[in-house]
Amino acid sequence: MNSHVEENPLDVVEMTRHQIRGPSPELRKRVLHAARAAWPAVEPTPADIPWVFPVLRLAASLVAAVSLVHFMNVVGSQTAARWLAFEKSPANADSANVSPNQPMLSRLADVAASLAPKNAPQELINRQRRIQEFLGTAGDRNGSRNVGLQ
Amino acid sequence: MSEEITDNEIRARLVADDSAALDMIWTLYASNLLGYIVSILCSRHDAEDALQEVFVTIARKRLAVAGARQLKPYLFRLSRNVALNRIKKHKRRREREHEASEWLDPEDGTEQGDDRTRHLEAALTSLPEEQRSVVVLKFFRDKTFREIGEMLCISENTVGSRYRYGMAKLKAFMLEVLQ
Repeated sequence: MNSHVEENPLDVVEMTRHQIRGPSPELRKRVLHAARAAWPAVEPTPADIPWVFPVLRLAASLVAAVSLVHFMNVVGSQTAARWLAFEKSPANADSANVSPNQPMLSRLADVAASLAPKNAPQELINRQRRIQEFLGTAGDRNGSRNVGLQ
Repeated sequence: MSEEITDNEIRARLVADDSAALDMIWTLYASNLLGYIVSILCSRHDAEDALQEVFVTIARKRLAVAGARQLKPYLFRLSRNVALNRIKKHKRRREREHEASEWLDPEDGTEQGDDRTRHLEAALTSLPEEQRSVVVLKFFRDKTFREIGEMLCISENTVGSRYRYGMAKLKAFMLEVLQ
């Protein structure tokens, strides 16, 4: 037999098959006793329940989404309120289409007028007046493009 | 009894908080789990302790076990993790004891049988863990490639190649030893 073994070493493996014994009754008793002792000791935590984490993640995502939308609504409302207040102000009551830049344009026109040279040629003065008129009526979209630029 | 037990039954018992599920798992899987753990740890004694740890974990995380998509691969994965954790924890001690460890059980009890077993243990121990597990499950537990693949969550082809590489190394080692 030994010579045969030397010819084919895998026979050794074959001959020693099934040498890992199954668990003994004593081991069964010991293991199951330990497992049963651990059984009631720990209540299942959320981490033990496989569907809890996905549901919690979903809930957290929903809360985040709702908070974001609410925040954007609040910001939007505040911005709209400013515009409305500006629209309803007495200075702009006559204007149907009020540009938020109009106060700045008016101011620019005033500045331009104050800086106008006293002894400038008539043509330059006329042009300046046209620009002043244009800037003064910039808020009125309907006729602004043609006013003063004929 | 084992023929009557199904994974679904075990799941139902686990969810119902019935500890009889442990007996069912033992009947169905304990033998294969032990063989698998022995193949990783190369120590019968350590493997028995690890098996106990596996069952304690099952008891503690019974709902997670019940929710596993496939029970058998889950239990094998759990066993592997427990075994590898034990290796990490006891690495130094294991290195000291490795030479002396005997994890195969000689069948005939003769001196020749002991020698064979010792050579085979040494050869198996020299294999990488992945190959050793496949060789042990195939050779010592009579599992098919498909069954091993299901247990270890790897493809049949992977099992086959690991087995071939493992057996080739085993053969080379045994040739060297026997000559």
